[in-house]
Amino acid sequence: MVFNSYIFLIFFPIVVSIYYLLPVKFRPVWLLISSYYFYMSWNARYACLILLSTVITYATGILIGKSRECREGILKKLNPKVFVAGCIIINLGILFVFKYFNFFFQSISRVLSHTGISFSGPKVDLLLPVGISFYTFQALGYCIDVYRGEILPEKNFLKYALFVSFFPQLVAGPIERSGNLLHQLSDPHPLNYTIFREGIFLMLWGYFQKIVIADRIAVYVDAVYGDYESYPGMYLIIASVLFAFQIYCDFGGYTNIAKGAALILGVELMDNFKQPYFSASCSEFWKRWHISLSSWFRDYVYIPLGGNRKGKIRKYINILIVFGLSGLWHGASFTYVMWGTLNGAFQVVGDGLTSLRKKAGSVLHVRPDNMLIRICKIIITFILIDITWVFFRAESIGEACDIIISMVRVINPQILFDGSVFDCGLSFKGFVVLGLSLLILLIVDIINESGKSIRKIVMARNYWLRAFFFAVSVCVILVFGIWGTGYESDAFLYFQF
Amino acid sequence: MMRNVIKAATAVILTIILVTTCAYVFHSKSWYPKMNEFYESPGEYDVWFLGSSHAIMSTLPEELYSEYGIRSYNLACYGQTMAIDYWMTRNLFRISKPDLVVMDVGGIASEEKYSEDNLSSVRKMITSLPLSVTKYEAINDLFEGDLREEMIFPFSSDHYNWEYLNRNYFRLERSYDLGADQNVFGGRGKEDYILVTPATIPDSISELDTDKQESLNCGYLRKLIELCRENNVEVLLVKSPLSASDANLKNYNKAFSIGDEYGIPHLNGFEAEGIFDGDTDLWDERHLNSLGARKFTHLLGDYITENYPELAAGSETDDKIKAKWDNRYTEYLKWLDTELPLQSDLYSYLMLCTHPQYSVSIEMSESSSLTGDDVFRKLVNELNIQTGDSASDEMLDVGDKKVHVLDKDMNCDIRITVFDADGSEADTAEFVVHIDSDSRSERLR
Repeated sequence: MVFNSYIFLIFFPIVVSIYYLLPVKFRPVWLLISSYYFYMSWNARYACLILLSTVITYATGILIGKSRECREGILKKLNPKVFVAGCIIINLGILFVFKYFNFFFQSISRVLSHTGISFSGPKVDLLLPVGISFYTFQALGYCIDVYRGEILPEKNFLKYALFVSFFPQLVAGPIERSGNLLHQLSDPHPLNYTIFREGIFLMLWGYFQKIVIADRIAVYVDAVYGDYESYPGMYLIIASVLFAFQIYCDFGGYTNIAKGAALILGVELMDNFKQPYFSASCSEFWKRWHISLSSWFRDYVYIPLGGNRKGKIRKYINILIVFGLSGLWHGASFTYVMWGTLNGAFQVVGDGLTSLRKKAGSVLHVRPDNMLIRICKIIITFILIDITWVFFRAESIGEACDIIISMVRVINPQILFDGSVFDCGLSFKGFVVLGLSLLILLIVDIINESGKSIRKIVMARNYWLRAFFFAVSVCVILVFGIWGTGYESDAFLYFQF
Repeated sequence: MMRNVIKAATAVILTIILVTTCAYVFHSKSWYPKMNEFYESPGEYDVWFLGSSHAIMSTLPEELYSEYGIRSYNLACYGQTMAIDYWMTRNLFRISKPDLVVMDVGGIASEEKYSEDNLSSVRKMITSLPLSVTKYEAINDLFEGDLREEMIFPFSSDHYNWEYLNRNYFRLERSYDLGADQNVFGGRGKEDYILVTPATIPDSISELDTDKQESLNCGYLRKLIELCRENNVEVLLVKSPLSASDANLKNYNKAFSIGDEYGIPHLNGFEAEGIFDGDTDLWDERHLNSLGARKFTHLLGDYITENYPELAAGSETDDKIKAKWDNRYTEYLKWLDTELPLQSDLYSYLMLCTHPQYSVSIEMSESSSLTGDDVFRKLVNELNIQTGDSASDEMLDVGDKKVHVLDKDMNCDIRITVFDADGSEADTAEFVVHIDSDSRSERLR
């Protein structure tokens, strides 16, 4: 049940209506039932998997709490570290089996084949459960927080199960922190009309990003990347630039729908994106992109590895490790590992060149806050990030390299003027709509960047203007969105992770 | 709280109004010519024709009215199965009931509920049905998955039409054919279309020689018959002739045998000896052209008049309706006129000229290869030939008819002048003939 499906548009209003009709104490249970139904709509059997993860992490939290409370007995003798380590191993083990098992043995087989040894490892034929990486990391984050004493273990199993499975953010995040989400789920907010309508507008914006922008771009990008040898040079440059916006609007759109849906239910989820393409460096980009995952890796991997406290070399190694792992988290493929490592490498190089840049700035008498310099930095950062996206989008590292080489080698700007660019699934009118949509995205991001909220600006208008804005927005999304018959109602890109 | 609920409800209503408007604007109006006349006054039609393309091209309501005074509508659709016929009928019975349903059994052997190849036509028919629980039941039974969603909510595919929006989306065209479609899929008499394809129409086989299997659509035929019975509507099973195989004929017999079980009569076009000619009456091997359709409509008219005499008599009782139908028939004839100048094929041109409203004057070269051409001779035999004014008094025999000899200075094989019933000239055409080539002929004027 993806957010852009008919069934969700029926499911969600029913869930919300019953949620607010029920007495407060029953609401978490209703949300839990709804969340499991939502998850089981993909594959009912995998609900067992999320339940298993929930039980293990819940029990770990309880055991850690008990071992701290007990003054004697077997629990007192056991170090909480044992519980948390066991929990991490089991959960990552499940993740490994479902996501990385075949990739791991195929990789070994490939390495050995280079040395002349023939090895065909075991193979499991399992469908990747939707959102497994997201809920596993969220549940592990909870255990580590309990272990660190940052939160108390949740004793109510149903509330904890809801924390792991809360449907708006279950399959593609944001990867919530227990400190932010658990208490909100335990203590639901009453119906608030202002928050409710903010949630609706946030969902609308998410749908606009997803089905008007991301899915329209997907038509072009899929055509060009799917046959990249027939579409060289400028076709690939356009596709790669557009893919940067596709993935932003796809994932950002999902996040906004998730946040909006949660807001309607009285729950405020964390921010996951903050105008990422306005970043002036790769490290800034990762403070604005998929914030919930970046901060997860920062708090639970980078800092425990020593962070930047053990010298520059260790810091750089830690960055590379974290970004390599982040790449692997996205998918069992070397393209993702390469994508992550490249992002890490750009940060390492960027950090290494900081003093040089400062020196150059002072020699040339350029102030660091100069607007022109910032725009240049934003463009350079975008280009670097876009190069990494090629690896993210390509089917293999070899294909990604071929695509980059083709972009540089084949000079065919004439396709912009002779109409050939409109032969890749997206017509001239399609491009016009896309251009206008991206302009709207840019304006909204500029307003958000300036610290204002377009949502709040609209909300401050009078009722009729708001109602008209809402109705027109729905129409624009329905008319210009890519949905319905003749279109594979694509899952959001990040569902596969 | 109540104020907020009212505000939210108002916003939702405003949104629904806007979305509904968009859905209407972007919905292709191409089904209008097919169904608009029917929906405007569904109670006016005493006879409904159902079936697939065989029926849509073989039964002409305007001709039936002109000749027999029977008011009918052709509700057949390309690729239509009995399943769709059943659900169409069940839905349309909600708004009106005819006295007689004439069902062409061409789709009886199909194991599909709908034809994938004709999905666009099926879609138009289903989405044109008035909104009701019965329509939902129909969609639920006929379609699955995305297609079901599309049929319930056509805007899911119509919204892509913003890219192709033009004035046709706002113009509601009318059907001059009352749901029938003579000769050409998607519009009669288009330029460069061949409307005459000589092929063999087989004789009927013994009615005992039937298909042994009961197809999925046999089940729906039974349901359709039962539905009509429950609603006191008579049913007549028919089969228009075409270039059919033995297997096809057995299938049709199967349908007739199902009708026999219920005491339902049938009219088998293959049994009509000496009426149909495969050389002149087929649009392609599977469908009748205008000439064939007029012959089959005539056959039906005779049968209905003989077996349901009240239908012909009943339609003359209301003067207002009669005047409306008469006017419509006049417009239909004018519309037929507009097709003649479009024809570039001699056979097609002659075939269209066989309509009783026309008389023609033909001048033909003595040396033309047409003199030995059987199809030409048969088509000329169907024409109402005028032998009045002509530059030449010299006459030439073509079959049973006489035509003028063409002036030797003319650089064409044949010149045809067509006159309307009032004697005014409707069209003139000159053709050069290449009987052995694919193009057969070339129109010079």
